[in-house]
Amino acid sequence: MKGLKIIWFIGIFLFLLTGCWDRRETNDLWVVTGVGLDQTENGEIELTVEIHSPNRDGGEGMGGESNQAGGNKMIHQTGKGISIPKAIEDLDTQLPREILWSHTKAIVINKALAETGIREELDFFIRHPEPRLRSYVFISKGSAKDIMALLPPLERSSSEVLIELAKSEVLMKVTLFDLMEMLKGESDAAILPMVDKLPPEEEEQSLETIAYINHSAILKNGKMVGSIDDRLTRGVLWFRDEIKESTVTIQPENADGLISMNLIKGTTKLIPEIDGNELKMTIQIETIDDVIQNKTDWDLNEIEIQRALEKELAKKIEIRLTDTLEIVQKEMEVDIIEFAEEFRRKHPEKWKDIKKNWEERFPSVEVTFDIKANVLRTGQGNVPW
Amino acid sequence: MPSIKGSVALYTWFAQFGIIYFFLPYLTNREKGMKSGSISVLAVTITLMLTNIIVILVFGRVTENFTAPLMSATRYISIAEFLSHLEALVMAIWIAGTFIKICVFYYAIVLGTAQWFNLSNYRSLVLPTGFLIGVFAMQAFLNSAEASEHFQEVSHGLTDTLLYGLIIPMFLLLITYIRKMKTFKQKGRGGK
Repeated sequence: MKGLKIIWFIGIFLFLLTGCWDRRETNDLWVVTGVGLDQTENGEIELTVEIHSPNRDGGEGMGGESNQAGGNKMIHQTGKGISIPKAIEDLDTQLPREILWSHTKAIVINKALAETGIREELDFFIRHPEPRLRSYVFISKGSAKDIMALLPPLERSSSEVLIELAKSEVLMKVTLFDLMEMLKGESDAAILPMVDKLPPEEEEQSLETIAYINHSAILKNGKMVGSIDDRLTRGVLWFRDEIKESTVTIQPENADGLISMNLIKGTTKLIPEIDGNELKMTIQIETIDDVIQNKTDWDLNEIEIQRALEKELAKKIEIRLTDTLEIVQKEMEVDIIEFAEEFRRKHPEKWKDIKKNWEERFPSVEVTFDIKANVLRTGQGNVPW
Repeated sequence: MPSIKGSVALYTWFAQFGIIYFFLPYLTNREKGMKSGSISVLAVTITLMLTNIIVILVFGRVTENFTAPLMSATRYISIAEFLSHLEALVMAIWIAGTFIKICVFYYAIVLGTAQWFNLSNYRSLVLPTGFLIGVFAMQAFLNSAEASEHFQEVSHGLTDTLLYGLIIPMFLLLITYIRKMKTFKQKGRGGK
């Protein structure tokens, strides 16, 4: 009887101690930190993965270019195929380890591929259980492979540079989830940061530079239709209430010289209005700025001057926003500033009607501005005149 | 009205609460049954509501594009960049919850069948039922498409839920009322 009990216990423990049978150790994995998607000439997809190699000595001779920049090795590999999974399969034949997607933080899509549509390709990253919704998505002007292959002098890898740039929120910051939300939105428009290679200093190696965000790609129905520069991107950021960093330089009318101000806080409210058959939108902006440079002879401690300055600031912002509208609303006719969403929220019943021909009606939306600008601090001193 | 329409899907889960009738006769302290029952109904309601609110607040209009929104929402957590990848926690709770649920339903099936066949002891049914559960777990449906077809064909969508979750409990309540009234009347007559 006692023997039976012991056997029974051993049996139980055998079942309980099976915890590690499907373990995946780090040295069995390739940790992908960035993905680049390109379109080849014959319409195939070229997938470049940036792999972080934690061991500094090993990894040589595994194939692919590797470098010692920043003390860590980055390895780049490229696979080709008619779809992303096919390209990964191709990649698998070159990689002796299993690919781990969990740490993919940057997805760079080539412009040519974006023009044919990104919806289909993104499906992979949303469907696959490993990639995160927090990965950042970029559009690259040139080939995404070249962007991934850069060897930044300071950061560990090219994708890390991109992530940090996106996080600084100077220009667009779009995660996979944000993109999903935009693609699902009423207006069917999306805006993505666009990256380009920063031209390297002359004497340096051509690869030792970083990619930087200088444009924004505009997508309609998941297809890229154009791009806007950094100035207009900030205008779009104002509309989307995503503005975090901005320097405004104004030239007051009755003064000689420039005054520069730094944004401390900016909030935007879009107030839609349906007046009979006409659509109206009021942009209500409140902003607080600090003066960072004064090249005029204005004494900023005087109340009248302060008021005039605030007025100039509001005017400057309005000009920026009108310019943005001119391009985005009138020329491109893509609703990336999400007017549609505001109309739907405020007038859900009437929206059903408007939605049918929103694309024709969007350019005719009448926009008025209501900008309240305040100057908070004028700095710790000033240069004597 | 749209919110009521939306709550119908949740009701199919909530109706599983009906399993509680199988346990009521076995309580040692029946007075507390009512109180604990109400507390658990409230707890279930709040949990269902919170889950939905969390998911909708996080994902908004994209919620419907996820197969398991709460799971994806948990994966989305990233506090101060190091407190992330928390989905294992949700998985653990999920599996533990499913385990308890299977136990409860298993017990209800075995007990109900034993009483139906007038068996003196339900224990002899445990093993065969377990075997059946094992077989059906693998055979009933393989993927979500088959699962939804299964619920359409076998459970006729909402009819089953309404039957087990609403009509039968109401019927039981009605019977109890009638019986109570009867005994009350008899008592009244006896007093005469």
